[in-house]
Amino acid sequence: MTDHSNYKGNAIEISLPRPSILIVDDDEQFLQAARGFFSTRGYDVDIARSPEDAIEILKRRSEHKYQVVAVDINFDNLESRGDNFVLQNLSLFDKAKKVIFTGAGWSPNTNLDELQKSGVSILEKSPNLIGTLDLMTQEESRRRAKELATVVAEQAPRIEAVTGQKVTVQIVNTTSPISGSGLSGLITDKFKRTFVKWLKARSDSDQPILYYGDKIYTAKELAEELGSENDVGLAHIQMLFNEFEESLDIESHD
Amino acid sequence: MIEQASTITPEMGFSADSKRLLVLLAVPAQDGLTDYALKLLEDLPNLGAPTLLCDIKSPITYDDLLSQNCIDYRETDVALVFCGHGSRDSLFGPSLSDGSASPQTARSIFFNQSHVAIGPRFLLAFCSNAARELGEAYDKRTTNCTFVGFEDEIGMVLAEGIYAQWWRGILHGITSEMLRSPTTQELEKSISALYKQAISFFSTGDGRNHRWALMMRIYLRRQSEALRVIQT
Repeated sequence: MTDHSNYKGNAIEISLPRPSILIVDDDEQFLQAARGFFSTRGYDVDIARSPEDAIEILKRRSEHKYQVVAVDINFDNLESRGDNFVLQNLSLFDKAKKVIFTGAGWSPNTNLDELQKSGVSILEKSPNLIGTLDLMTQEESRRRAKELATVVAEQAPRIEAVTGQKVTVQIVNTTSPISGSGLSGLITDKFKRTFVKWLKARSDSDQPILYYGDKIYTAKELAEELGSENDVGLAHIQMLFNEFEESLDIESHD
Repeated sequence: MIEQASTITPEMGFSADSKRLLVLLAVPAQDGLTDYALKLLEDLPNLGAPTLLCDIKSPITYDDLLSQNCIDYRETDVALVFCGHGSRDSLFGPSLSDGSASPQTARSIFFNQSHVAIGPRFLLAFCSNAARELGEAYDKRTTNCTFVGFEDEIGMVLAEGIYAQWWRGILHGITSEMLRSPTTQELEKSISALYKQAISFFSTGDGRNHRWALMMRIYLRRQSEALRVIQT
């Protein structure tokens, strides 16, 4: 899974979070144009055709952190308004930057003060809108990577204790989740070897003791799954990595 | 064949709309997981409703199980607690075959989307993946029902002692909260607290030194993250 030669000196590389955006609009032409633009640039892009759909998506993907959520102010359904939707559901947006986009003829309404106080940006739905959202999302992605780098740097002694290597922290423009030369790669490769050793030390009994997914394993069998890097093995490495992340309390990492 | 272990709590329970409430604990016999789960459910505390523990030895569907026990879903609110193997759209019963095929290919269907229309009013699917399509079916096709399940593969340490004690607490706690909590948020919060308490135990102090503490932590966290609550 991870090749040591990929490591760059003693650097822990913090991958930029994959740019991720949710666009809420009932203008099908705009949605398709935006989805096409962001998809080809490697974004994780979701679209919702109404505020109600957006609430469902945000609830369902509570683990997922959008960098930007952009909402049209007007919908054909006159009962739905983008500004009301944003203000009434602020907790659902978590740390996402919130954007309301308006038609050319829009004039400030009674919610303007509240929108500004809540940190909601108001943009005109001009031909430049998609480009502006692109810049905002990338800026937010870099900001989160810097935030994570700060946390990791503070935790460097603990990471060194786990990996056995002196570390420095760099932000790189890759988005690999658990492989490659980043923080995850450095730690998960070490974890894999340590985990296999840990399981083998518990292989003194042939009694099946660990259930996962659809099967029951002995410690020895699970160690073999890790070694063969199949889905079960990779899932366990990922779970162990998550456990380590929790112990570092670096929750801002997407 | 179904072995009904016992009716643990004999008093009559009633749900909010005065229908009779019955807690049905279904564990289809398949392997070491289901043997283990059966033991976890044997001493479920009093839930304020009759509780029927069904150790299912041969293939049967949910509707047939109701029928065999003279349970009319129109008069009874069933709370089904299922422990065993599941998939995105089904809860599995015992093996269909004589053992010549692999257990995975020979599993019978105990409950799938065709049973959603007849309840149960509360369903805890303590198995991998069922929150995906079965949960979606509950979401779209029921009213006034509660579904609790996992939308990913889950793991468990199947050891006795302290491990069984904590799994029992989780399973009993989720069952009890599912019947008690009035809102999705409250139910999610209660269940999350159960998992946090268990993770904390195996992360600190003496709990951290148990032989399988690490596996308990990663499986508990996995379950906590994969859990989905649907109230309609």
